[in-house]
Amino acid sequence: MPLRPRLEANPETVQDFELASEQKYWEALELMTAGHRAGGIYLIGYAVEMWLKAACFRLDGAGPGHAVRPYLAPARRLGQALFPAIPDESYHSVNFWGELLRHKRRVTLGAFDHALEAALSLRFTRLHTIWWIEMRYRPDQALPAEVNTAFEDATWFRDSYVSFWR
Amino acid sequence: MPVKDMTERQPTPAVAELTRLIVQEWQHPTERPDQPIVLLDRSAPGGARHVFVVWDRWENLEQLQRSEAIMDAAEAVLGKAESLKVTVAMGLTKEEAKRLNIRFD
Repeated sequence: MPLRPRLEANPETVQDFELASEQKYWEALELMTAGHRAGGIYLIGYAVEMWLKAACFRLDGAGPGHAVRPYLAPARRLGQALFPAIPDESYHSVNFWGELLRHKRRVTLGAFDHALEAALSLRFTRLHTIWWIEMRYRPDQALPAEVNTAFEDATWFRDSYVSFWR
Repeated sequence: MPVKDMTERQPTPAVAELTRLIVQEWQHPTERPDQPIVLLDRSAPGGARHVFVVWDRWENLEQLQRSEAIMDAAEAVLGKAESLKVTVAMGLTKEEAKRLNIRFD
């Protein structure tokens, strides 16, 4: 069976997101170190998007084996109601998911401590100025400093992931 | 040519019809086997709600579209504020529900 039907045979789970984000992170690093700046940024942004989404769904009570898609539409509705000025960019905006994570954390486990919350906001806001889903249609114009920033921010999200929802 | 504001993207007529039927069944439940079965789980933490709709008419509709249709129905039935407490909106065919061990009988 070809790859696509093999992958589509089972819906993506939270656990899939956690594993895929880890894989994409390391694959992105391979691209970045080989000089493929835009490709590396593109892939590492996906990893961050998945960490943000998975953390939101964990805060919703999702376990590792829960399918992800049934959480998406309710999350979008909530975000649109809470911060209508931030577009979800077809479910891909790291600004959107970052803001939603802050909200969900506040109403479930209590707000993040100030340092973590400040770092979270800084990182997703900054990454949003470098990464967005539509960048795939553009030729590479990324600067080395932008690669470094994307990598540093993604590494911070990777290191902080569990603390987002525990 | 007139200049008009763009309106928000709307669901297709077919999906809107599914939403209408869910709302109808949710508000006035019947025992008809071809109608959607709406399952509400209020036991989620923090007062969140999970909505499952078991219905063979979901066949061939992508999971995200099913979820959007359920959210539209939830908003129509529960109102905006209550519908925002929904954290899971999952549409399943009967076969899919059985595979996930979701009891709907």
